[in-house]
Amino acid sequence: MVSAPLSFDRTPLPVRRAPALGAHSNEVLTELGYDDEAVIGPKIAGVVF
Amino acid sequence: MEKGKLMDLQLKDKIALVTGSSSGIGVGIAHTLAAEGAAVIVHGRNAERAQATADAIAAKGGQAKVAIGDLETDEGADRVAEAALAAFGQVDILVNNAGGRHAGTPLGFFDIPPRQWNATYNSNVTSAVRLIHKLVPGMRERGWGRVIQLASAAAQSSSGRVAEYSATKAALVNLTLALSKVLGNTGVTVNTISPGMILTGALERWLDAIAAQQGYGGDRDRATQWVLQDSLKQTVDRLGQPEDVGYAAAFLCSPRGGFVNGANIRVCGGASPSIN
Repeated sequence: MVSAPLSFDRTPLPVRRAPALGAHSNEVLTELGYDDEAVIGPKIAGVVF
Repeated sequence: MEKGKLMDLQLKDKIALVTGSSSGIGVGIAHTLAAEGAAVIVHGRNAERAQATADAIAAKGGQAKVAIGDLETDEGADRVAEAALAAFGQVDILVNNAGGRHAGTPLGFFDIPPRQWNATYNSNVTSAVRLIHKLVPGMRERGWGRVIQLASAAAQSSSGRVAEYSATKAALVNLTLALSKVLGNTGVTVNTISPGMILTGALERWLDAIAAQQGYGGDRDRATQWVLQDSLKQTVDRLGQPEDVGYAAAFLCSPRGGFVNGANIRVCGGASPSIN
């Protein structure tokens, strides 16, 4: 029998990862208005992994 | 300091130009400096929007005038510098906050044409240098001044996207150190602030778009939680406010911050994965 993986503090490891944000944020960035895309676009794309 | 006495930031007689302060983080910096008593020159490309920020500062009892112009050309920057000097007689504090990236520029490294590297460098670095050339000599002559560059959390890391933007922000951090050396022992200090995710109007609109895209029924808070939990890796559990950047700027601009020189102050909720 194989036990469920445990981390050191006995909290079960997460079963599933949320989808990576990057791909979604790229799509949304191009839907922003011209000014917003210019100002906030690079911050989001540069900081959000 | 005497017990019970508050730390007065001593900005009452100072005059500050904050570029790009008609919206976003610049608004937070302009309001915070004005609230601490500085006279503020609001800069933007759009006269109406810049005036709206100046009016909002005045409505709170602060002093503000505007300087309008495009910092991406020498002529435009000259006009901004002249208007700023004319506003209150001199400029003691220069906050180089304006910048960004031209809309429509691709995100991927091999999709970004070389000319766009030049364009983004011009927006973020050369624009700052133009105003430094125009306004810092006066600070040096008077024996007191403050220069602050607004970089980005992207200066200390890279997602791999918008590489040319991140590189310009890293360049600002380095330019800051160079200028602090050049101005050594003149009374003029030069520092960088690197903000992370700050809740500006533009970011709110992005969160709303995320909420719509993810089927959250326009729930901005849920979109915020999604961004915070799944992607940002912050160690402070909220997005930043423009004032968070303003507080850091006010300290660096203050005589109380006079022993901080050439530094990069990260105001990113702990998002940066690296040391400075």
